[in-house]
This record gives sequence, structure tokens and C-alpha cells, in this order.
Amino acid sequence: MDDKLTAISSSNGIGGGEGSPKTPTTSRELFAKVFPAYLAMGMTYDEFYNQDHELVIAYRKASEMKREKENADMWLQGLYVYQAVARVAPLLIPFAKHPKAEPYLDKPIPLTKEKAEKESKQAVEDKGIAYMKAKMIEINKKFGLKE
Amino acid sequence: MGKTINFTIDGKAYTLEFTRNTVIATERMGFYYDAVATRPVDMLTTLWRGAFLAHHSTLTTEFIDGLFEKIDTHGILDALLEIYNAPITSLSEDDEGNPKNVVKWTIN
Repeated sequence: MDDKLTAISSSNGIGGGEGSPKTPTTSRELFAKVFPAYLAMGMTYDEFYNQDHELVIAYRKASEMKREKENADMWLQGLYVYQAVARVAPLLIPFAKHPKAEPYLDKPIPLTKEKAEKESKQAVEDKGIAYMKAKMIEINKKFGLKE
Repeated sequence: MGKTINFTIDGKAYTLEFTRNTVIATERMGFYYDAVATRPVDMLTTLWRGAFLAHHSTLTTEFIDGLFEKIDTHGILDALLEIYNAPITSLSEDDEGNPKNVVKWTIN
């Protein structure tokens, strides 16, 4: 797709020789050559041929953003697979005594720095609260008080 | 927003613009970019008429030619060429509107 788009501004537009791609000689040919690439991006015939000609710039940018998002999604999925395999890896060790797999992640991986920091802070708070509760139970038990 | 030429004559507003379809139509009417230098008058006339197709397709050729007589024609050819080229150059511009794959050159 990028090859088709960059072909327009390519300076080596001199055609010739067998097998070399025919250089568009009219605007009609030029537009017909690149139109499929924009169709693939989701542009309609009306938008490409009749609407604001600068729409193609927005569509190109949107297509690039979509590809980056898809790439990030695939990376994230790979991370989940990696996490899953790592957690069951103890079961795959041959002749291991009492192998035990770790449980799967109990919540999604935080995607932003702010969420990660919030979860980390929450985890520390939860740990503190659990510690205090355990201490209270211990003290109550020591003095024979109700839990 | 696409590039346009706007003017008002006798209280009526006119917007001249080229879409890709009207670029094709203007070429079918006989406009040929390379002929602008050798036949500027013919090409200017065709370009002027083609510029009306996007927003004023119902106007007659005679009426459109009459409008040309009333406007300030200084710089009109360059302006028409700019809006004519816009649908073509937008296919090879980056997001900032700068042409891609251009080599800078200098004169010594």
C-alpha cells in the first residue's frame, strides 16, 4: 500500500522497458492507480472523488494510527500468552517433585502508567490493612476478646 | 478544507474548487497541464470553466465566460492552477501538508 502511495511522488517516473510499470499520464489514470489503496483504508468513492481533497491526508494518518494500535494489541496479547506460559512452566519440568502452577493473572495488566501506579499503591494499602487485621485478631485472641 | 477561490458578482457568491472528478472532467474538456506555457489563453479558459463544475455545474458556458470578463484576472491563472493541482498533490503530501520525497536544491 505504501508503495502505491509513494509511487505518485517518485521522481523516477520515466517509464520504459519491458515489464516496467506504466507511469500514469493523465489525472484519471493517477487517481485510478491509488484509489484501491484508499478504498482499503475505508474511504468511499464519493469521499475520494467528490469530497474535500484533503480527506486523503486524514485517512492516511488514521490508517497509520490503526496499524500502530493493532501492533500494540498484538504485543499485549503476546504478553498475556507469555504470562500464562510462565505460570504453568513448573508443570512442564520433567521429574519435578510436587510441581505447582501459579494461578493466571487475577486482573488485566494496567495499560497506563497512572493505572499501574494506582494499582501498586492500592496493593500496598491492601497489604497494610491485612497486616493490621491480622494484628487485631492476634491481640484479641491474646486477651480473650471476641474477634 | 480544500483550496477554493471565492468571489461575489451581482450579489451572488461563487466558489471555485476542484475535486478529483472535476479534475478528470476538466482534462476531458481539453485542459492539458503541459500546454499552459504554450497555449495559456486556451488552457486558462478551460481551467476557468472546469473550476465551476464542483459547485456550479448548472451554469452555462456562456455565463461562466461572462463572469470571467468581470473579475480581476491578475494572478487568476496561478490561483486556478493551484486549486487544480491540490487534489493531485494531496495524494503525496505528509500530514503537515509538505511534499514527500523531495530533495532540496540550491543555486550557486
